[in-house]
This record gives sequence, C-alpha cells and structure tokens, in this order.
Amino acid sequence: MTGPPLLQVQDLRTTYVRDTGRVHAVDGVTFDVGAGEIVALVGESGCGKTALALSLMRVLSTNGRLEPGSRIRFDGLDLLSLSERAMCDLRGRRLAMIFQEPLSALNPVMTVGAQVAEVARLHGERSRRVAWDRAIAMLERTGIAAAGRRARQYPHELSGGMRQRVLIAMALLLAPSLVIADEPTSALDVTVQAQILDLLRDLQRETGMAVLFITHDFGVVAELCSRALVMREGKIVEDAPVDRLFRSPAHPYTAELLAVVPRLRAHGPRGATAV
Amino acid sequence: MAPLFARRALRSTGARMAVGILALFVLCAVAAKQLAPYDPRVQPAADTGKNQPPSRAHPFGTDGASRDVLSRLIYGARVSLGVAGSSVLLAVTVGALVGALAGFAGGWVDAAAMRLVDAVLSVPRLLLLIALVASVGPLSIGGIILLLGLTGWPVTSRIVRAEVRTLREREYVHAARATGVPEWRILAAHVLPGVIPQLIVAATLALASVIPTEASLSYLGLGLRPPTPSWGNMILEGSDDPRTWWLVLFPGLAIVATVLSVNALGDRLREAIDARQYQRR
Amino acid sequence: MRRLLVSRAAQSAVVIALVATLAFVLIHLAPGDPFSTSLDDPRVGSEIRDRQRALFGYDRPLPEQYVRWVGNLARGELGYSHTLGSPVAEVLRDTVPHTLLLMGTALVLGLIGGVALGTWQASRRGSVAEHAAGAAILFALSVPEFLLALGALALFAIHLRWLPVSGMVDPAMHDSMGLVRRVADVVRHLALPAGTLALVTAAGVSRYQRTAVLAVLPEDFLRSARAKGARRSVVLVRHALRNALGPLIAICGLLLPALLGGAVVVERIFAWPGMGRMMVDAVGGRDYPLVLAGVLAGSVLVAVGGAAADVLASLADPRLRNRT
Repeated sequence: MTGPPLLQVQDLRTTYVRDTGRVHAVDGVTFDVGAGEIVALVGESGCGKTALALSLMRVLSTNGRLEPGSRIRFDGLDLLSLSERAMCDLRGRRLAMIFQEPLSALNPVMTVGAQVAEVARLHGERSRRVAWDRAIAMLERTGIAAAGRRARQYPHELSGGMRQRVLIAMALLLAPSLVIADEPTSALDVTVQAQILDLLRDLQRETGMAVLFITHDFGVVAELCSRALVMREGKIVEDAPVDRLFRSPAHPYTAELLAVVPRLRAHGPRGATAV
Repeated sequence: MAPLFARRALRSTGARMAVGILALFVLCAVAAKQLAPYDPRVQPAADTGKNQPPSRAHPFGTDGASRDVLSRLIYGARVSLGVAGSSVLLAVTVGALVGALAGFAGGWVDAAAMRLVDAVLSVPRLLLLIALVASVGPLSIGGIILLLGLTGWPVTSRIVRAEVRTLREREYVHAARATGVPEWRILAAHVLPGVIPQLIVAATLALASVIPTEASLSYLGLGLRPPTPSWGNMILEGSDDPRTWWLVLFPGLAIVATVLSVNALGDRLREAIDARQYQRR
Repeated sequence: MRRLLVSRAAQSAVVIALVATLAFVLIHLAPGDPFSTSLDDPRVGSEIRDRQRALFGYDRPLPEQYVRWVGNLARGELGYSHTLGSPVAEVLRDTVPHTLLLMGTALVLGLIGGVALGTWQASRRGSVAEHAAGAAILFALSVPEFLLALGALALFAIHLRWLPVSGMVDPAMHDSMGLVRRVADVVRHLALPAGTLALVTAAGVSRYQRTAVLAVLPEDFLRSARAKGARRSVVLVRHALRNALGPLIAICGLLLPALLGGAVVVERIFAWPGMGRMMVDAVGGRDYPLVLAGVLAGSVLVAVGGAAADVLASLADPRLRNRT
C-alpha cells in the first residue's frame, strides 16, 4: 500500500466522568486502518470498543472526554483539531457509523425514508425530491423489497433485519471512505445476522470503503475481516492479520478468548459464539 | 425515613432560606398582636393621614383608612396563612383518604373515585369557587377554608393513589398478606407510612396553589371581606390608584415570597425523594 | 385511534354532566334566590315577588327545576339573565369568543416561549445561565396572575403609556378605523392580558419541556443523528423536540383549567369583555343562570380541550397512531 493509511490513531485516551470517579474507557490506543481494509475490533463487552468508536466519530456523550495527547488522523485531516462544524461536514459523508441497536438508533417519529434522505439533505442536497429518490435507491441496494413503500413506514413497523438495513443505507448513502460498524448484527436473529454480513461484504466490495468492524464474535471476524485488533480494558493487546491470529495468537488474552469460543458454542443458542 | 429525606432536602441554601422566610411569616401569624406596631382595624392616631407613603412611623405606609400597612400585613399573615394552612390540611386529609381508598380497593371504587377526580379537576377551581360564592353569598373564614379544602384534594388523591398502588405490590406487602394479616392492617402498617414523603410533597403543591387562589378570590372581592385583613383583599383595596403603590407592593411581596418559598421547598423535597428512590434501586 | 376518540369523548361527556349537576345542586341548595336580594325592598309587594319567581321557575321543587334545566340545556336554551336582561345563550355568544381569543393567544405564545426556554435549558443543563433561568421560572410560577397583571398594567400602561389600560378596543376610535387598524387596535389591547397569561403558561410549559427533553437526550437515535452529520441545533430541534412533542400536547390539556382561572382574573383587571368578567359580575347580582352557564361553558372548554389534546398527542406519535 502506498501513502499513509486512511485512519491513523495514536495514543487515544477517552475518559468518562461517573459518580464513582473517572473511568479510562480507552487507555492509550494506537492503530491504523488502510483504505478499503476491513479491520475487526474484538473484545469483551465493556472493554471500551464502543467508546473507541464514538471517540473516532467525536460523538461521545457529555460526560465523555478525549484526553489531550490523543491523535486521530483521517484522510490527511487532524480530526481532533477540526471545528465542530467541520466535523459535522465530515460525519455521514466521509466517515459513517452503523449502530448496534437498530430500533433505538432510529428516530421513532420519523419515517425511515426521511431518516435516510436526511443524510443527503444535511450534506448539501437542496432538493427534497432528489434526496428522497436517492434514499429509496439506497434502501433498494440494501435489499429492502418494495423500498418505496417501506420508506414511508416508521421504524416500529419494520422487522429487526430491515431496520438494520435502514441503518446501513443511512451510513452508506454518501459512499464514505470509512464505516465504523458497532456490532451491527448482535441484536439480530442468527439467520438475519448472516444476511446482514453478506450485505455488508457485498457493499464493501462495490464501494471499496474501509470498515472498522466492532464485534465480540470470532466467527464474524474469520468470515469478514483481514486484520483484527484485540482490545482489553481500554488497551489494544494484539494487532494481527486474522489468519495468524487464529493460528498462533501472540497475546495470552487472545488465546484465552479463542479458547472460550467452542466451549460457549456447546451451550445455549443465544450469543452462540460470543466471547 | 421521612426525617432523613427531609434533612437531605434541607441541605441546599435555597431550601434553608425558604424555611427561614416561612418561619418568619408563621411567627408573624402567631404573634401578630405582639409584633404589629398598631391596631390593624383602626387608624393609629389623628395626625397620620390616609394613603401616606412609607415613613419612619409607618415603614410600609398607611392605607385609605389611615391604617398602618405593616400591622395589617402582619395580621394578614394570620388570616392568609391560617386559611391556607387549614384548607391544605383539609384538602390533604380528604385527598389522602380518597387516594388510599381508591388505590387500595381498586375495581369500581377506584374507577368512580378517579372519575370524580377528573370532574373536579376539569372545572377550573376559581370558576367553581365563584359558583359556590354565588350560591352561598359572602363567605366567612370557615366557609373559605371549607371551599378551598373541598376543591383542593384531587391532586393529592392522585399522588397518594399512585403511591399506594406501587407500594401494595411490594414484596413485603405480599408477604404480609400471605401470612394472613388483614387488609386494613396492611394498609395502616405497611402502606400508609410509605406514602408520607409523597404526602408532604402533595401538601407543598396544595399550599403553593391555595395561597394564590385565596388571594385571587379575595382580590376579586369574592373572598374574605374587609375589614378582616388578608393579603389578597389588601391588594384589592389598594389597586385602584397606581400612586399608592405601597398598598399593592408589600402584600404582593408577602404572597410571592411565601409561594416562592413553598415552591422551592417542594422542589427540593421532590428531588430528595427521587434521589432516595434512585438509590434504593 | 377511533377507540381512543370514543372513550375520550364519553369520558368528557360524563365529566361535563357531573359538573353540571354538581354546579346546579350547589347553587340551588343555597339559601335564598335572586329575588330575595333584589326584591327584598319592603315596598315591593310579596305578590310581585312571587309572580317574578313563578315566571323564572324558582318556585318549583328543585328536582323539577333540574329536569327542566337539563331539558332546556339540550335544546341550547340556557335560561335568561335577569341582571343583563338578555338570554344567557346570547351573553355567552358575546363573551366566550373574547375569552377564547385571550386564552388561545396566551396558549400559543406561552407554548412557543415555554418550549424554546425548556429546550434551551435542557441543552445547557447545569450551566449558570440554566440555573438562573430555573430560578426565574420558579419565581414567575410563584406570582399569582393578578399580581403580574397589576404589575404589567402599572408599568406598561400607566407608567410607560405604551399600551392601553383596559378593554378590547378603543371605545372612541375603533368604529372609524379601517380593517388593518382595527386588528392592530385589538392586538394592542390584547398584548397585556394575553402577555400576562402567556408568561405564566410559558413558565409552566418550560418546566415540563425541560424534563421531557432531558428524558429524550440520552436516546441512541440522537447520537445516530449526530453521526449523520447533523449539527447540534438540528439534532435538538428536528429530533429531540419532535419526540418531546406528544407529551407536551397532552400537557396543554392539563394547563387549561389553570389558564381559564387566570383568564377570569386577568379579564377582570384589564376589563376584557370575556366570560370570566361576566361571571364575576354575575355573582354580585346572584344571577344563577349566568353563573351556571359560565361554569358549564368553562368545563366544556376544559373537557373538550383536554380530550382534543389527548387525541392530538397520540396523533403526534406514530407508534400510538396506528393502534386501533
């Protein structure tokens, strides 16, 4: 690969202020994501994966804070020195995010079509009509049948899988160069999970976007990603190509995680391959 | 439990100031005779004229009948706070009984009680009071207390009903029922004590609404009649002429200070209860 | 939706019937009747008094008066006001629209102000400015309407002379004005009474609105709106506000009784020719039919308004809208 990677994260630290004190959710994380690359971010729940994603987007909640010294370079831009306005311009257009809970991530009182079209409208599309048509075309691309009719429905009227497709349409409408997918399948049934993963892979091949795929599911990692970052207690403990990771994990924690997978698989159906 | 949440509510400076202001007014009401420099009903001396602006002899001025406004204000505290306090006591008692009954009995009793509450709440209180005054004529102090009390209970009954319905589903209540404790004892021993914090908040709400209502009624000339001084009718007497601003300003300030204190205190109490429930979870 | 509509309408009807009965019983149980005061003059013969009573039906037993009254009510006949010398229905027709104008203006202004204020407070939670605004709102809620009205009157009408002191129109000039100036005349007269009520309404609404927006703010969909590139203001207005809308409309219904009570006082102070002032005047004359009609009109207003608010609130939420 020539030139600098698409995303360079250096010594990223994110803290949350809680009643009980400061929590170091992300504690000095450094990694790269190259253009067109699919990188997995794996770890137990609560290890700081989502906090990392929200930090990259700069959409932390009010009690969250990026510590000085953190650096995020994206596409030649220093994200942490950008104004909020410039950041808004970037979000949704160059840098997008797919959320974990499709129902709560969608506004319950707006039609899903309007929510997808809003992305275009926010980024300079003047015509309502054009924005709407683009939204429907995108919904069709994500595999929603009768997208024109579905677009006029509200989130609660759609199935879980369809809602996740809407979120994907929202994130990919403007063909961003990096998409952060925060456990996009964990709230879905197993069969739907597979469909959504296929969809994401197809769309990635079509657009050539880079994906930072957050998951706790090694099955997904093996299937989709070329490289994996293993996160534990706010730190990245291993950064390796997926095949090497599975073959010979360098960090004992990774080995531990991998060892747990089959054992859990033998147990209950829900969260089958969960860490 | 109750004293604990009250203590937490009193931690803020605002709440302490509110208590101080209310204590001052209550002191005025109780010791009006000792505190008031003049007799509120008769003009103090021949040489002081009527409608005098504030001066050293009369810090709050004199009214149209040459009476000392400060003295009338102090006696007015007795009347206004007495009426407000008594009617709130009545309203909260009735409200608690209706609410507890509705919440505990459930079924058609509950439905009937709540429709009655809807009905009373959907008549603007002032309109209903006007209708009542129209029927009974000029009211005595007792009459006003009764009317304000009997129109003020629905909010309390809603709050108490909601709390009772929550409490009666608690584990320890189920346990008591399972061991054969009679219903009335469960109500008295396990449910009602838990309602007390909410009842105190309901009382502050009732008080904060009854004081302006009484003042408005008096201001409309439908409440307490002169010469009995109440803060509301003092304003009525003074509001004709904008030049006698002290006749409106001082009783007005007294009303606002009282209601503001009650509101502030109510807010703090509510926050304290919320915090307590949050901690329990 | 239809079920909600029907049940809410039925509930309102029951409430109105209860109120009507309650008001009737209370007023008629009281000792004396209109003529015991106005005709108590010893020079008036008792035959005249009795004839007057018979004419208005006050000599009949209470249940009969009630049945007759309900029957008349159903036909839209509300009786005859002996103090104003005209049918009650006519008095209501003349006064109720004025009260609706006053309350409607106050409600709209109060809602806009309260929503803006409450939303702003929620978005600046914990800041010094927000605390100051909270204190100011509590203060505004602690001032009875009549004091606010008197203060506004003294400042804007008497001291600054910006606005007229009382009435709804300029008595001397109004009839010679063109349409535009007539409207302007009414607006000038409306400013103080409606402004007073709007202030109180805004203070109440802002407290609800602040809580409602604070409840919405942690929602995930606001974060996804930000992730789409929406600016703070867009997130707040298009996403947070719209979700707080349903409860807010329902609150409007609950505000109506207090607003109407405030209107009574304010009408009196600014001599606004509405039904509140009409009722206060009617009490003095012991004009039963008029007072009764006022109470009834008031509770109809509140009941219908409350039901409408509930229905509108559920329309604002698509999750409730489609439920039948």
